[in-house]
Amino acid sequence: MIERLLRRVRYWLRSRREDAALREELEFHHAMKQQELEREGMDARNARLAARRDLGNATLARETARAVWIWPWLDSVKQDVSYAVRSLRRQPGFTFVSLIVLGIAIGLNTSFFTVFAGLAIRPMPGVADAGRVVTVSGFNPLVRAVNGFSFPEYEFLASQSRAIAGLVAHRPMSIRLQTESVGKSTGAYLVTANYFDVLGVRMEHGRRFQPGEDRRGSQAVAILSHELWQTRFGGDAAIVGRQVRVNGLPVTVVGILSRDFGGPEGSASRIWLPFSMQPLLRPNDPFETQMLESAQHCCVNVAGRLATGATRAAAQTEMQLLSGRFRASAGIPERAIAVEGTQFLRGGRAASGAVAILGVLFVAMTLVLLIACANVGNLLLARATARVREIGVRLSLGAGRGRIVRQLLTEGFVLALIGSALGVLLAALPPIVLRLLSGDSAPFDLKPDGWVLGYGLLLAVVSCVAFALAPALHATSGNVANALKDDSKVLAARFPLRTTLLAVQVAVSVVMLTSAGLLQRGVARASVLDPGFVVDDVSVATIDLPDAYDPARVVSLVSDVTSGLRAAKVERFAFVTNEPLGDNSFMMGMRLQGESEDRMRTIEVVNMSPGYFDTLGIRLVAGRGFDDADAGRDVVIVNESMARLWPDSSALGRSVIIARGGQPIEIVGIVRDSHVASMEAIEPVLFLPIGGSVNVFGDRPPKLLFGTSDPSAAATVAGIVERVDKDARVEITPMKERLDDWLGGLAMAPLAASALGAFALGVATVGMLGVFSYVVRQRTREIGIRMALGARAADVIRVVLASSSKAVAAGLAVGFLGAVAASQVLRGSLYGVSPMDPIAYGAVVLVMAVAALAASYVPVRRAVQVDPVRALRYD
Amino acid sequence: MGKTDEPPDLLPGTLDLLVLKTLQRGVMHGYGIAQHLRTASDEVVQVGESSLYPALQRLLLNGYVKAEWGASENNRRARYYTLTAAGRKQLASERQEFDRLIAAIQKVLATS
Repeated sequence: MIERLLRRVRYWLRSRREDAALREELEFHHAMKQQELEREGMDARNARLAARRDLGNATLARETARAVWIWPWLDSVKQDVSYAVRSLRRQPGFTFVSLIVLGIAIGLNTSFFTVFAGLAIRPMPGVADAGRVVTVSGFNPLVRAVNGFSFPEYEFLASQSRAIAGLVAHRPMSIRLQTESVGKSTGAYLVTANYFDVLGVRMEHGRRFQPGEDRRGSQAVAILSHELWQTRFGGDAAIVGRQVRVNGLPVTVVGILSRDFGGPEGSASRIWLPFSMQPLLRPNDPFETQMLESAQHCCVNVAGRLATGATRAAAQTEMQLLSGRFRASAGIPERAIAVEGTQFLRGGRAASGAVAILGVLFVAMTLVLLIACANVGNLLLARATARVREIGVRLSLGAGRGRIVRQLLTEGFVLALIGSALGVLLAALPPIVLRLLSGDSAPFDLKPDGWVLGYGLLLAVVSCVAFALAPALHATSGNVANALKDDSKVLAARFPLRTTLLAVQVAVSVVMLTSAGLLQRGVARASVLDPGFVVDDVSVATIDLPDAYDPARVVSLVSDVTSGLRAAKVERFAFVTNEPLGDNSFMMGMRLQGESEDRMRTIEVVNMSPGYFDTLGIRLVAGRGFDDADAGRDVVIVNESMARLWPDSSALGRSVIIARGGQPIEIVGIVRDSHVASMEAIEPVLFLPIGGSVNVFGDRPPKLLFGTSDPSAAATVAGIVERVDKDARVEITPMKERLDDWLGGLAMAPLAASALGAFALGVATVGMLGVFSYVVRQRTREIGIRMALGARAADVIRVVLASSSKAVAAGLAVGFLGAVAASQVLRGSLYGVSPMDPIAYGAVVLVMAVAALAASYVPVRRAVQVDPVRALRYD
Repeated sequence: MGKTDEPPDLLPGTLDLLVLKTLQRGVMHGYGIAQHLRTASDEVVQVGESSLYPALQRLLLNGYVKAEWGASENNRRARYYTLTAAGRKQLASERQEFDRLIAAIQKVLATS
C-alpha cells in the first residue's frame, strides 16, 4: 500500500518526464504499426494514414494512462492553481493590493495567535516532556480564587500519591540579595529539593538541588536563574561554589539554570532556594517561621509529573481524595482540587483580566480580518464582473457552474494562501519584540510553530470562503446569453453584494475608530485626572539595605532619619511601605468588628509615618492624624471609601480586624479619598502606623516621600539616609516621573487601537474608492446621456454617490451600534469618560466623512468630466 | 478507476491477466504485447493503445511489472516490460480466479 503511494508520488513529481515517455512509447507503437502495414503490402502513404487514424486514441490513451497515476481531481486542482497564478500575475495591481490587505490582516491575527498559543496553549518552556507535567491547586469558593496548599498538606500528598510520580512545591517570595556591599530586593522561589529533577530542567552550570537539601538544618544552597546570573553576576561561571548573602545569611550558589527555563510565573530573574531556608529568611515573622509546620497556613504551589500510564483525570480523582483525607484529619473543610497543564494562563491567572484582554483583542483581530475580507471580496467581485464575458464563454462551452465556481475559489485560495504565508512571517515578530522587552527567558514560550502555521492555514481557508465564495457564486449566476451580451449591469443589480461588502467595511472601521477614540479620550482624561494627592513637588526615595531587618530596626532607622531630616529643615516627609504609583501593593484580609471570619475581604494596607497625609496633601475629614506617639500603636486611619462600609453611622471609633485571629484595631481618623492605591477606581484603604502589630514592612525596602521645591533637597535627603546607615543606597525619583510613566503605559492601548483603526480606515477608504470608481465606469454611458440632456454637475454627482451612499449610511449606523457595545467593554479603561462620549463619536463621524469625500473625489471628477459625445460612442 | 477503460468485449480484469500472461514469455515492449495478444488469440483479441497503455501503467503502479528503455529490433528506443515477482504471484492468483469464473459461467450455460 505504502509502496503504491510512493510510486504514485514519484510519478507525480516527475509527471512531465513520464508524460514524455508515454508519448514516445505511443509514437513507437505507431511507427511499428505503420511498418507492419507496409510489410503487409500497403503503400507508405496509406500505411501512415491508417496508423495515424489511431492518433485520436493516442491522446485518450495518454489521458487514461495519466489517470491511473494521478487522481483526476488532483490533476485538475493543479491546473486550477496554475491558471489562478497566471491570472493573478496578469493583474499585478489587484494582486498587490489584495496581498497587502490580506497579509497585514492575517499577520495581525497570526501574531495575536502566537501570543495566545504561548500563553494559553503551550506548556511551560524549559521543562522536559512538559505534556506530562501538571499543576495541582485548590479552589477557594469563598473568594472564587485558585490557590495552593499548606506545606504539610503538600507533604502528605507527595508521600501518598501514586498517580503523580514526583510532586514538587514552590513558593514565590521577595528577598534581599547582597552582592559586594549593595543589597537589592530580588525575587526568589523556595522549592522542594526534587523540583528541578522532577521537571527535568537543564542546568547551564553546576548542579541541581540534592535530596535532603530542603530539610531543616541542611547546608544553605541556592541556584540562580539564567537571567539573574546574567544581570547581577555578569554571566560569570565562577560564581558557582561561591557565597552570596540572602537576607543577610550566607548561601552557597551551586548551579545556574538553563536559559530556556523562565520559571512558573512573573519575572524570570529569580534566585531559587530550598524550603529549608524558609524559617531563616524572616525570623521575626511568625507566619514565615511556622509555615512549614502549620496545616492552617497558606500556600505553596504544587506541580508534579504524572506517573507512567496515569491520566490527568486519575490524578485529579486521587488528589481530591487525598486532600479530603488530609483536611478531615486536620479539621479544615474540603475543597475542590484542580489538576491542570502548565500553560501560563490557567486557573487563577486565566480567571484574571488577562483573558478578558485577549478576548477583546481577539474580537478586534477578527474584525480586522473581516474588513480585509470584505475589501478583497469587493475587488474580486469587480474583477469577476470584468471577466463576465470570459465566464460567459466558458459557461456556453459547457463548463459546469460548479467547475467555474471552483476555479474562482481556487484563485481566492491562492491569494489567501500567499496572504497567510506573509502573515505567518509577521507572526515571527512577537517573540523578537518580547525578547527585546523582557530579556532572555519568560515563563511562557512565544514562537511561531505548527500551531501558528495551522492557524494561518485555517485563516487562509476561512478568509478565502469569506471573500471569494460570494463573488464566485455571484459571477456565475447570470445566464449565458446576458453574459455574452456584456450587459454586466444584470449582475450588478440582482443582489447588493457590492454595497453590503462596502457597508461591512464602513461598519467595522467605525467600531475600531470609535474604540480607539474613546481609549484616547480616556487617556487624555487620565492625564488631567486629579490623583487626590500632591504630585508636583513630591519625590520618592527608595532605600536599599543589604539585609532584611526586623520591625525594631525599621523603627530606629525611621526615627534616626526623621531627626536628621528635621535638623536639615526638610518640612514635609514620610516613610511608607507602598508609595502612590509604586510597584508594590500590600493586600490583607480584613473584616469589620462584629462580622464573622468568613466575611474577610482583601484590602490595601499602607504602613506610614505621621507626615504622610501632610506630604501628599491629603485632607483629614474626621478624627485625627497620626503623630510620633502612634508609632508602634494599633490604631488605623481609613479613607472615605472604607468609611462607607458603615453606611448608617460614622466609622470613627469603630474597629476592624486584620488577618485571621487579629485583634480589633480602632479607627481614629478618616481621610479624603485619593488614588494612592490605584489610579483606576478608588478602593478602601487602611493606613497604619509603622511598628504596630500589623506590619507590612520587612522584606521590601522602605520608601521615603518628601515634598520640597528645592532641587538640592534630593542630595540632602540621600546624604542623611546614608549617614544614618552606611550600607543603605538611595535612589530618588520625582513623583511626577512616576505619573508620566504610568500615563506612558496607559498610552499603549489607544496606540494599538489607533493603529488597528487606521488600518481599518485605510482599507475602508480604498474600498469606497473602488466602489465609486466602479459605478462611474459602469454608468459612463448613462452619465453621458444625462449630460447630453442638460444635466448639471450636481446631478451627475448625485448619480455616482446615490447608489453607494445608502450602503455607507447603513455601515455607519451598524458601526455606531457596534461601537456602543464595544464602549461598554472598554468602560474600565475610560477613566470617567462616558462610553457615549460625544467628542469621540463626533470625531469618528468627521473622519469617516473626510474619508468618504477623499474616496469619492477622483471618481466624481472623472464623472463630471465625461464627454457626452465620446461616452455615447463607447462600445 | 481504470476498469472502465478496458475494451467492452473483455471480462473485467481480463486484460491485465492477458498482459501478465504474455509477459511470462519474457521481456516485451507494448507493441509486442499487442501483437502477441492478436496472434495468440487468432485475431480475436484486438487491443488498442487506449486500453493497453493504461493497463500497463496500472500494472506499473501495482508493481506487477517494471519498465526499462532499450533498443528495439529496428534500433529505435522502446520501453520494455518485465514481470516482477509480485506480478508472477498476481498472475497465478488471477488465473485461478479466472478459471473459476469461466467454469462457473460454463456451468450456467450448460444448464438447459
